[in-house]
Amino acid sequence: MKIDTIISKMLTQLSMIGILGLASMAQAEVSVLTTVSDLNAIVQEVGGKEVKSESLCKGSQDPHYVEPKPSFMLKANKADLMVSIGLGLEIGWLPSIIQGARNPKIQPGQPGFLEVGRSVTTLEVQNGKVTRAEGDVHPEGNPHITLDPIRAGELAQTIAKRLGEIDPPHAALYKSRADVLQKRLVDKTKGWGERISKTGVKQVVSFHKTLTYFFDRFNLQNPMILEPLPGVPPTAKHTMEVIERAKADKINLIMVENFFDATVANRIAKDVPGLRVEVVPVSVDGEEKIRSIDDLYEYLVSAIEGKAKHG
Amino acid sequence: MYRYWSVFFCSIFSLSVALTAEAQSAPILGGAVQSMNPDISVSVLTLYKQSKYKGAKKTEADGGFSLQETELQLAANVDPYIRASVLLSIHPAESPEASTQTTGPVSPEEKGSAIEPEEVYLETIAIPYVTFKAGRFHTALGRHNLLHAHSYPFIDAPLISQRLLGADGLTETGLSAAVLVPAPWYLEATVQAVQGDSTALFASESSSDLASIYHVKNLFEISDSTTLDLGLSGASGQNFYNKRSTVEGADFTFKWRPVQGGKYTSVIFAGEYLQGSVRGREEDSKLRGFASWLQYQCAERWWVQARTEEAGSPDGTSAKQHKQSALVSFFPSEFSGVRLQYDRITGGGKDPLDTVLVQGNLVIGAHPAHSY
Repeated sequence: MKIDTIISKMLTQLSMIGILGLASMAQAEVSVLTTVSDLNAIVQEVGGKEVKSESLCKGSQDPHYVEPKPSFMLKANKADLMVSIGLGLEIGWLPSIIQGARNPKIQPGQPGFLEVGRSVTTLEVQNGKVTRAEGDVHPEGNPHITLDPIRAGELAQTIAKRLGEIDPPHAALYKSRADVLQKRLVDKTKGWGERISKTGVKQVVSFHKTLTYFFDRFNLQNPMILEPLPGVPPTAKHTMEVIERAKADKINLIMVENFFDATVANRIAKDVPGLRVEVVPVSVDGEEKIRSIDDLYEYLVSAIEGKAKHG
Repeated sequence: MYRYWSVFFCSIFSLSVALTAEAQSAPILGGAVQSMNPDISVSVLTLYKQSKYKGAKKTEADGGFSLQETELQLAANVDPYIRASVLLSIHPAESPEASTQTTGPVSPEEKGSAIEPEEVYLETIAIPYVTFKAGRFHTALGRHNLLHAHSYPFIDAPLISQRLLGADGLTETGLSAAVLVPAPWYLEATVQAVQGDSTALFASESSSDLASIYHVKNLFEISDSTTLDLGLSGASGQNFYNKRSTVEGADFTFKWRPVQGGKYTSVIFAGEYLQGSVRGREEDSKLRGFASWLQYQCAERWWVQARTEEAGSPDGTSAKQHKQSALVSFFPSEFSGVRLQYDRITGGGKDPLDTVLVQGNLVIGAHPAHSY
């Protein structure tokens, strides 16, 4: 066999493989990895059966302190899109995962890298010089943006837009699903707001500033957190201050995010008459029955009403 | 012993006071979040050490307070294809003048400090499945050798690493390719070609003699809470005696951190075995040893740890050393910590040597990467 015949045969076979490869790519689902489970819930609803999605951080884990397991790098290696919050939330662990993934598609600057935090208005943005004497602060704003149902709707739009860029044939489908999700959350937010205002609860103490956006949406004040500074465990002195403030202002609810220890909150409740402690999931999958983003808000509203049931 | 506990608890007390003090958060203009500057961080290790042979009247001369290491780290993406990291290490070093001086006290000026490029390398970020690295880096030999001093599980490196690879481990200049092998578990194969400058292992007289290092790392995710890491590695290269030096290593790390309550408790059980041969060298031409350690996180910011080690030559030409260590550490935040360690070394043809170390560990600047 002549060399040119061999080369032409090889080229034919290679082009066949290429065509088959393209055909299979066109049919394949978009593989998405999210840093937190709330984003995963939104991606799954917006992406439907066209998208396969998974979250690195479990709903019961503190998203600030995730370990960059090599097994996460293996998952990131296969992803078409990495969706993260940004705003410094995953700064300790996501860069190592992306570097270890050896996947050019999800590098910062590429279409497969999406930080959604900058697509919504953030609260608690720090202007000027910030130091760690203030605790584990996030200069670009509080990163727990998914706790607000209205912003969650906006995030769905951001995600739908990016999914549409990566998978143009389904762009309209993603957009229509994001519209449905956003409208539903806007409608439900009215109902949730009415239920919360009926409870008469005006001020809530939390462990960390995780629920800032939820409180802000439903006009609840968060006058104190159990951490003396973000990321610093409760101290005796600060706990005494919380007790005094709770008594003076007649605060009757502490919500403890379920990845924190509720011991200090329970001790405070013993000293303050009428004070109730609710240990709450703050992410989808934070408890077994919290399967969707709607379930999460529904649970938090029920907790304020005193009707939440763990499970 | 009372003295060492008091140094440890004084350190903890001062850290706690600093941490619980009310923060002054007056905003100062400046401090742009967006910047083209590299991520800059400085990590500082301060050490208090005392060691004494059993029955000896005086403690060893190499103790007391010292600035163990200051590490300046700069890292940034160069462009869409390459990431660069520069780590400069500043640590105490005896100057040639001081080391030749045989009588009289040595002043701190004479002891001096050394600044050296611990790691300076470029690595690719835009190539699928493989990371190419070029420059000076910690070679992928064993598990401990990849760590920087501030992330060692104990204050010091395992005995066998120190005796076989040298006090600073095997850091070399050359090229590296780390391939993420498509497999159902995490499987990484690394091959490195380096200059072989290490005086402990290689230092061939011919600059064309390169040393090679290979490493296979497997990580099995047994559950969401548990992983098992198994590694095999080796090195080979021409040495100063015009013969071949070889090293083989095996390591394992078992980690458990529950998905629920993982902020407050976790367990690490790890071990590393190294054996090596520097053919042609009269003393310690063959060495082998292991270190195995258990780390238990008993509260959010507290760890208690224990380690057992053995190192020596298999043919009995140098006596075996055994070392036992216990450590307790307190980390007020991700950015600071203080550790108290007690060691006893027996064997080696000497009386037992007891050592107590207290180490302060802090980092300022860019957020450090969480380790795994």
